[in-house]
Amino acid sequence: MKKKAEGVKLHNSGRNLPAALKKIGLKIRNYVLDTEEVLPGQKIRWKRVFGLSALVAFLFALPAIVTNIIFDWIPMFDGIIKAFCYVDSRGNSYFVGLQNFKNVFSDPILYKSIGNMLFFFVFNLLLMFPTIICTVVMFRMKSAKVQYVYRVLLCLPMVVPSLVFTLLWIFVFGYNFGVLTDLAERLFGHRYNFLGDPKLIKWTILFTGIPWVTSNNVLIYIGGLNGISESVWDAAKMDGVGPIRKFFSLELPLIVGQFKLVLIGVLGASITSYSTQLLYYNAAVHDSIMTPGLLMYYKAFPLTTVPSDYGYSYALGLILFVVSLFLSLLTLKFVKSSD
Amino acid sequence: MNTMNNALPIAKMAGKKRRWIPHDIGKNIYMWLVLILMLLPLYILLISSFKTSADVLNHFFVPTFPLVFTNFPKAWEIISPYFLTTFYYAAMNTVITTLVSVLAGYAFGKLRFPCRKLLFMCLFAKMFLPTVMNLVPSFMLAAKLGILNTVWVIVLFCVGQSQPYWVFVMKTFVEQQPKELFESMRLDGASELRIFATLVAPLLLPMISLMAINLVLFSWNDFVWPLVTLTEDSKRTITVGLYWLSKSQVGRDYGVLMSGYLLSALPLVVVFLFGMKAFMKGLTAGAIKI
Repeated sequence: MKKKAEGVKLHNSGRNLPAALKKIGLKIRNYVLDTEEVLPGQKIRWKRVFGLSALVAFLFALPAIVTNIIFDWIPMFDGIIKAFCYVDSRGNSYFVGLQNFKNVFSDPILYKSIGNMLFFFVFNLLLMFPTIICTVVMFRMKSAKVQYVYRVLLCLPMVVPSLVFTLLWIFVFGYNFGVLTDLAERLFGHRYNFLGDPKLIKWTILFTGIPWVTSNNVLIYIGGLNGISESVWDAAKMDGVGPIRKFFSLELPLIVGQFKLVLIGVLGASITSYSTQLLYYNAAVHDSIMTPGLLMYYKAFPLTTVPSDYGYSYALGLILFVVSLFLSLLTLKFVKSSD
Repeated sequence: MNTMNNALPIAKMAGKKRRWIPHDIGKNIYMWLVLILMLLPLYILLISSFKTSADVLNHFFVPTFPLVFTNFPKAWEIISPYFLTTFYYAAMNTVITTLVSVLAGYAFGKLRFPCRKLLFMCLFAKMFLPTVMNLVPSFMLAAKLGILNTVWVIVLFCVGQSQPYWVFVMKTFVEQQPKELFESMRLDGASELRIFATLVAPLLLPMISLMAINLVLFSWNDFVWPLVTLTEDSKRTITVGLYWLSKSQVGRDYGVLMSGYLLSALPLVVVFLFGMKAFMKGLTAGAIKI
């Protein structure tokens, strides 16, 4: 009896196979031709599919597609392919297999640079918290007007290019004489070379972030906190929740979505961005400031007359690409699974 | 009953006021500490640009009198080429990228053409791919196209790389609008371009202003890409120009250098003053990008 039923089922599905194929074909056709409203059996209005209005619409989208393909997709594929090539200064490339990767992994500076990257990585994660604390303190203020004034004042530094602040900090510390260096000498009786000492440079860079409050992120968090209904806060008040417990059991869980968003940004930036290190770079601190991103940059655009090693740069770029892609997929998964 | 109702809020307010003082004083002190630390560099910039070079070094934290106004003309003379060049680049960047994104957003959101979804996926996928690898290949491509040291090396790569996100934003916004809005105009015999200019563009104006501010901020702050692609001094952007200035002989005249730094903030100050709300929204507009 059971066997018979299975047989019937098999037979049925066999008969439906062409129909199923046809259905898939139809789906593909509708997807490609953008004719989703056409039901099976209905005729396609070819005049609409390839008519003047479709042409105009295509022309509207064309500049975006063309520029994206040429200036975004092509460099990406070029980066993947040329990582396996020797590239000379004229841009000619010759296939060399894994040679570039061998060069990268046998370079001792790579391992130092990974260590430096991890240093910034860990501290960038830790230094996410001052911003959250500042936002929560600001949010808890009773007067909306005062809150707004603070918010505007926090955004005020954004009018100056961030590079200018970095240059200003470099000036304040100074290579030979700097106001802060002089001040530190008077206070501690020892002349610290904040910018030129390999042991100090990373801490100097971290220090210049003081007070480690990022205006953009304050705005993101405050947007999240403002989106929460008033009744939640009233309920907390009724229950007499203390300020610290309120932070851990209410505010922090409520902005966890925003937190993840910022986290993804911080993770990506810690691995791939190097413009700050580039600005603080000097030969004396070479080993302790180099990050893989900066290494990729300097191999292609060296400071001195050392010839460019484009192959190295391409290979390291591909490694960074894969690592940060993997990490962002991981965070995305983690974000999805806990939501 | 009535008096009760009136009295209640007053009693509530009085209670609040009594508690307000001890509570928020601590918070205010904390906020001021944070703000002082954040605004200290701005303050230093401001006072230093009115000082002689010697005063910058000897009296760093306090303003000195008389104020030196001659720093600004001197600084302007040096940085004005960079300033004007960046202004031009930023304007081109903003106008072209916005136009391209809005046109595409409208086409993907409300119009029909073959391969629409396929092509959109091609843009959309780019939102999730890291861009760290692009620096050297982009440089090679620019060199091959012969556009190094031109405005196009900035504009074309900005258009190509920054629009997937914005096309996505515009498309989502256009899709939310009722279909009838567009249909009625079409039935009246208006051409697509006309619909775009008279209906779509005004509808998208809030989004366009956000995007424009975001792009201006980006163009004014961008550093690494202009540093490698604009090697001729006359073509440099403000950030690259200031970077080289800080390393050169001009960097020895600190008052002038500081006023140069301060002048670089001018356009963004103007944007900030005239559109504070839009500016603050523009700061976080790119944040949804993953």
